[in-house]
Amino acid sequence: MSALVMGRRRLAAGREAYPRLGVLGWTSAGFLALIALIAVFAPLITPQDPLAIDLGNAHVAPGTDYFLGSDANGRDILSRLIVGSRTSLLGPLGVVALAAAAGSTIAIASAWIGGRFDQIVVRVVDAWFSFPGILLAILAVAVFGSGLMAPVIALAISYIPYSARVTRSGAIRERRLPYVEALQVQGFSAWRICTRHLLPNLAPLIVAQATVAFGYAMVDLAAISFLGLGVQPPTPDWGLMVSQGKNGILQGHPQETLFAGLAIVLTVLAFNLLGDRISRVYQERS
Amino acid sequence: MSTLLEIEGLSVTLPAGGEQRQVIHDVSLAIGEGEAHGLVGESGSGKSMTARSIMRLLPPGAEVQGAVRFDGTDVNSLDRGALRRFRGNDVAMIFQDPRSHTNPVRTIGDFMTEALCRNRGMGKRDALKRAAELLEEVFVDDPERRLTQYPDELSGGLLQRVMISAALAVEPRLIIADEPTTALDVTNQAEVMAILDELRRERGLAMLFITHDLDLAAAVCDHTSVMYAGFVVESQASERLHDRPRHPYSAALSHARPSIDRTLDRLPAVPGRPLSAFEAPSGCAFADRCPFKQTRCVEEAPALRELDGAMVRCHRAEELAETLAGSFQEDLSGHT
Repeated sequence: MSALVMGRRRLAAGREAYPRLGVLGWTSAGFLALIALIAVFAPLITPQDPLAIDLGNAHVAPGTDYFLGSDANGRDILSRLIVGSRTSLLGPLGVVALAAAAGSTIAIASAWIGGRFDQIVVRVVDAWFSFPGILLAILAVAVFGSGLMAPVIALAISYIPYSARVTRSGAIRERRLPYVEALQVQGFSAWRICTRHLLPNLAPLIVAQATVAFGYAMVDLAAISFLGLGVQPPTPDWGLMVSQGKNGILQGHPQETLFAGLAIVLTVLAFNLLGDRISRVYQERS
Repeated sequence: MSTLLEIEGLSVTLPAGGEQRQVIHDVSLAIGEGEAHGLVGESGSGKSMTARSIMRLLPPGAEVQGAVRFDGTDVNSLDRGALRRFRGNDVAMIFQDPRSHTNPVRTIGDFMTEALCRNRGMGKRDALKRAAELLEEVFVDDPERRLTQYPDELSGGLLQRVMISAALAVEPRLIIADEPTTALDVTNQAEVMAILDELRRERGLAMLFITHDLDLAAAVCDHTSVMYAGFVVESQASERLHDRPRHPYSAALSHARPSIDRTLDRLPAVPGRPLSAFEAPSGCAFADRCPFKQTRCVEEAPALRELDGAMVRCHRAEELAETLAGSFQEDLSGHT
């Protein structure tokens, strides 16, 4: 989130007081901020213990006792969604942070050095796209065991080329701007020009790409949890909840899958809308 | 006066369409400590490429022959660290378009202090104070406020003055000014030029002044070289170049300027099309447009040679001496 704030400041500093995110952009940003707050303060705001099993109250419909109903084990779905937001947000955050860091480094180095090095990087990145993220994550789980860590790193690796390709296109354009030459003439090192000038100017682009990627990573991680390879029960996780609630659907109790699915869809949608708006503002600027 | 910058037999080729094309042909010039040297020519004549060769800022694939010596050291032999020190401490460059040569998301203060902090090892606070002093020297009002502003909040003339003071901030020994007033309003040009000239003289800095304005170069520079299609065609003391041009091209350039003493229906122009540096032919590069062309000019490339204290690249320099100094205008109009 701090990268987003930084990107905004740069945008604001360059051209105008507020970036034109629009109503949808700001609504999405507000919604995501709310989700983030819920995740941070999760243990303080859960109405019930998310892990307490009460088989006598299984599959209770949404109502006053259980606001969003209870699951097959009689656990409060709302409380589990609130606590589940932690792993559900932390996972994709790890994926995009790793992928954006590695991707931007590759992209800026490639654009700066140029020539044959750049061409090799482009080919390698092209080949890299063919890595199937989910399969790689399953492989990682098979090798390193289930949990959040292995799938996150595996997905991050498969997300690097997306970040690298987008950032490289921006970096190539930025690299050719005359101010970079003026900096070289002042005797600044390549490292300094890249980290202090190119990177901040590319931040909006990197953030926009990472925001969209966040949504995809969330869906991918949910799929991995759904398959039972990610976060392990009884820890609540949205993807896992979709999976655990699927038997209830046939018995006429769709609430667990429904609300967990809804949480994923709304969050992913908000990330996509926000990412779209940020990249549009960036394009308007340049 | 000791020589600060010496360019000797510089030739540069750039890759274009699968082959190397020569854009600079055997350029030699020397700038003494504290001396201003003008480099005059049309667009594409190789002026900026010459400046870039000094800074080692040529595009990838460029091949360089000849030597560029700064204070006796060959610039092309510097390793990475030494090159950075050379660029950061010894030479400063002022560009034609100040706006595109500043990072738009950095404040003027950031821009001015970055070099002071990095190359001079100053603390941020001292650097900001120094920057404000420097801005005052170039007559920028309210320098403290300017330091917090962004480049797009400043006018072109003001920004160019900021660039000049930033260039002088690191106390270089040589300034390369690449058409510093071309992108400015006419009202700003004279003022910016005057400031640059005055500060340079005050500090005893050497300057390589690139322009396409022969009179301007003559006014601010001790010595002027005229470039055409990648060749230096003439090089001599500025006032002599103005009064007694030795090369038909220099003479034509001075005549193409409007003058308050002459009344004309139409300004004279140099006939023909300017040759870009990489299409230089086997003979004299200017032959096609020269009113004094002879067979020899087309067949044999003239060498740069000395004539009465001037360097000139023309076969007929001796016989044309009087013509070029005097009534050149009639010859020119009679030709077309």
